[in-house]
Amino acid sequence: MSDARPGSTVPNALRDKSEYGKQTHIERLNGTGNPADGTGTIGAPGAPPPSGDPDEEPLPYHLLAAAFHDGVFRRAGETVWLLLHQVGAHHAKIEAVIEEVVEEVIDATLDRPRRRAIVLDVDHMVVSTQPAPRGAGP
Amino acid sequence: MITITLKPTDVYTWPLSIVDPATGQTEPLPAGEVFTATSTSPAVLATVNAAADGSPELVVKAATLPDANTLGIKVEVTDSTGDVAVDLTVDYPVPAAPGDITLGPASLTQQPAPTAPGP
Repeated sequence: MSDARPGSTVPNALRDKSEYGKQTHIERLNGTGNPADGTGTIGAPGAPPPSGDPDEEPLPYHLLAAAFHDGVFRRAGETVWLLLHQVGAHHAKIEAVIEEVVEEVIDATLDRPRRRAIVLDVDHMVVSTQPAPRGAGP
Repeated sequence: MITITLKPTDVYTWPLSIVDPATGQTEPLPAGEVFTATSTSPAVLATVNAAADGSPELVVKAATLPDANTLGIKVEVTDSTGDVAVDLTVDYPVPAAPGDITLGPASLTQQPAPTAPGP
């Protein structure tokens, strides 16, 4: 009795009345923060509502799990550009990583000893003479 | 870039120093610093010697007579601390021999402009 699943050919009267049994397949997927409706992350738990700011720029995020992004299947680890309201639990912001790398490069540059230059003092150039060499060149 | 035209009897000497490009100021030479001069032609000898006061100086002179006009010889000075090298270009032409036709110093005068068109 309790092993009845939505979509199976059992009378409604025999269906499981638990919360799980009331959700459709898509509703359950959306509830995980990794929706299967091609929108990316809508419905992710804790996601803020759309800001509505027309000037908002998308930011880069790493995908922690495979997901649909703009209707395209993307593997885990790929980078996607998202507005704030599209960010879900399976997205990791990579901005902090970029800043850290830049800071390391700057620190390495500052720590590197500067290169000095050898110069010829042309103001004190002296031209003298010697006996002409004898042999011709090779 | 310094370019000189070397004669077989010429000996060129330049004092060497180290400059910080950021400030343009001459810096003291570190103890034990060794300069090395190289030439791309065996006909031109480049060495770094110690001047009378002990400071380094680059000496460029002919090692042999040129058997042909040799232009664009590169002389480079490096040092043991890896500072930015300095280089110069040496042209070493065959000197005129007695009996050779040579051009004297050029002079400029003017004439009336020609009137007939070209062929």
